[in-house]
Formats: sequence, structure tokens, C-alpha cells
Amino acid sequence: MISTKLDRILFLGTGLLAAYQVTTGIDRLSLGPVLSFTIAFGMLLLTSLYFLIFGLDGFTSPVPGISSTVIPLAIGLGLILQFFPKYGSLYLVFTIIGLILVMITRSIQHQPLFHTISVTLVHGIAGFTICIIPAFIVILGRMQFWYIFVAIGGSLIGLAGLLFSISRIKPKIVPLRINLHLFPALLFSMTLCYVLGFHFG
Amino acid sequence: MSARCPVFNLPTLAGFLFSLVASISGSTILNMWWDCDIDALMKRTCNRPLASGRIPPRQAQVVGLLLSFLGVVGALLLDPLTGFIIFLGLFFDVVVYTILLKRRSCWSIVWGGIAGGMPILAGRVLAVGSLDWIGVLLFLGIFFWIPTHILTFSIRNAADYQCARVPTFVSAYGIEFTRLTITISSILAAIAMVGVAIGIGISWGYLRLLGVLSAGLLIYSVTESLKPTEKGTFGLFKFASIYMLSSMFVIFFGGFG
Repeated sequence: MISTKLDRILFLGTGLLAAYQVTTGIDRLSLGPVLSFTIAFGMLLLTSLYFLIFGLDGFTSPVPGISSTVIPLAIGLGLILQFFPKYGSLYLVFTIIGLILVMITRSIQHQPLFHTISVTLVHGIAGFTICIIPAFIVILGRMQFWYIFVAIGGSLIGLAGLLFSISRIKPKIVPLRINLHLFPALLFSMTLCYVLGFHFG
Repeated sequence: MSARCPVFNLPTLAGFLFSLVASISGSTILNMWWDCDIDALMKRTCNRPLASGRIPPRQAQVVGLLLSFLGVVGALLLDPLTGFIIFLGLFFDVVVYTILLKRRSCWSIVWGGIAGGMPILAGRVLAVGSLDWIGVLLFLGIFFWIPTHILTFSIRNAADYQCARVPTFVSAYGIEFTRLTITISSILAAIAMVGVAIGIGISWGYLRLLGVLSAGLLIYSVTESLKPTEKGTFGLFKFASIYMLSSMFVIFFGGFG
């Protein structure tokens, strides 16, 4: 499927925002969160470049699947390391096991149920972490109100994942074609929310 | 900027820009003048002004020589070593690559790569006043990036090159070897650019960004060599081009940090 000019502009915008975030947006944090967020936003940058090169045809490759798993896991780990460092090791173990589990079950073609369960579990925990922690931290007064945008970004990535899950099951509530055209806007909005949250929060 | 030079010298920059534009334009015109017979045989190049007969060859030859002369003289006036490097680039591109080797050996691209790396080396030499290892790494970055560019075209336009009887890696060693060469040269180009960034001492944030882009290029290259496809190879060429442009920006802006 050919991407439109607007799609390309949104992918470029996503890439530039992610590049900004890697370069300056996380500078004041300590090493652990910086590494985690660098992986997350670096993955966002590479994913947007990938779609800029291949257009929406890129969805036929494993890249979207890998990046949609790595990004929430890495952001979740970064948040835990930043605000609850004593649980950092535990969450790191979950991140590694989760990533391996998703990759392995993905390769088992004849048992898609295992993959669905592992994706739901891993994405669910990572998504919950990204949505809840920023809100909790803002309520506690440890960060400014703008930090809530990180939670909104987390919700948007969850929405993107949900749309794709719906498009793969029958009956098709939302056609895949429409989802593909929603994807660039969701990716851009999500990245913008993260940048706003990290910058002003 | 690779020198983190605190002095912005507009006349020198303008003079160097003029010298580069003149010498690169001159060598490109001379290249097209010499190759207009084979360009006319290839679909990709048959509409070029010389190949399609819109510009007389004699006229192109005179303009090409004049621009090349002005480019080298301009660079020599700025700095003798810079001028010598610009001259070498022109000589390797026009004489060694285009006239002597292009129709005889697929390895001509090595000399094309050397010629392509000379402008950045000249810029570095002009900025720091001598030839240093960072300049050599900048040169190597471009030198290793050029095969990615040329070899991808040789895969996509293999029939064209065969029709014009221009030897390429594809015709001499096959597509597998050509793809492997693209992969290896992409990785080496990335290593060279990271070396430059570390050598110059760009800020930590920009180094992270270059690390991300380099990791992307590395993963893409390895994946493409393990599971090669025509679309993927062309994608790698595009990614390597974006990588090179981005790494230049990273080195430029990271130098301020």
C-alpha cells in the first residue's frame, strides 16, 4: 500500500521528535533511565525511518511487531528505573523475559494462541506501567502536570496496538486499510505526547 | 565544523564552497563528456544532455576543463595542501576512474570512492591546517559509503550496464557477493563516522543519536545480508544515504555541545 504525502510528513515528524528526545530530551536523567529511553526513542526513530523508506508496505515485515514490543517495554523500564529504582532489577527481568517470550511465540506459526496470550500479557503490563506511573507521580507532586502527557502517549500506543489486534480478528470491525492510514497519525501523536511530557513535566 | 573551530571565517568558507562546486561540477561534466557514448546506451542515463545530443561534446569539454581548473586554482589559493587534495580528487575521478578503469574493471569503484572522499578530507585539512586521523576517518566514511550507492545501482540496472558493456561487481562476481560488499561497506562507513564523532568529542546526547542510527544501519545491513531481497537492498541504499546525511548533521550540531 502506497503511503500518502501526509503519511510521509507524519513519519518524518515522528523521526525528528524521536531524534530530539534521544539527543536532548532525556539529558538530565541518570544512566539507567537514559539507556532505556534511548532504546525506546531510538526504536521510534528507526521505525519512522523504516516506514519513510518502505511506506505502509513495511507492515508486511516483522519490524512493526518488534518495535511495538520494544518501545513500551523500554519506556516502562525507564519509568521504573527513574521513579522506583529498587524495583528496577525485577522489571528488567520482566522486560527481557517478555521480549524473548513474544519473539519465540511469534515464530511458532501453528500456535497463534500462545503469541496472542504472550503479547496481551507483556503489552498489558508495559502499557499499564506507562499509563499509571506518570499519573501517580503527578498526583504525588513529584513531577509537574505536563508529565501526564507521558501517560497519554502510553494510551495512544495502546490504542494503536488495539486497532491492529481488532483488524486481525474476524469479523473485521475496522478494516486494515483504515488502520494503516491511522497509524502514522497515532505514531506522531504518541511521540509528540512523550516529548511534551518529558520536556515540560 | 568537524574541527570544532571557534572562528567562523565567511570568506574562506565561501572560497572553499566555490572551489568545491566548480571542481565537482567540472569533473562531473568531464565524466559525462567521456561517457556520453555508453550513457546513450543505458535507460537510466540516456536522457542526460550530452547522451541525448542536446549539448555538443566540445562545448561540454571546454566548460568541464574550465570549471575544473577554476576549482583547483581556487583551492590552491586558499591553502596549497587543500588545493592538492582537490586536484587529486579530480584526477582520480576523471583520469583514473572514468578514462582508465571504468570500462575495464569493476574495481574502478574503489577509485571512484577515493575521489568521492577527497572533498570532505579537503575541508578538514583546510579547517585544521594539516592532515590528521579524523580527516582520514571522514574520508573513509565517504569512501565506504560510495560502494553502497554505486553497487545498489549496479544491481538495479544490471541489464543496462551489461548492454553498455560496463563491468560491474554483479557481472563479475554475482549478486550475492555484491550484496555482501554493500553490507560490509555500510558497516565500515558507520564505524568510521562513529570514530569521527568520538574523535571530535561531540556531546553525549548527539553521540547517543549517532549510536542509534549506527545500530539501525548495522542491524539492517546484517538482516539484508542474511535474507537478501531486491527491495531490501534498495532500502539499505536509501537508509545508508539517510544515515550519511544524518551523521553529518550530528557531527555539525554535536560539535557545538
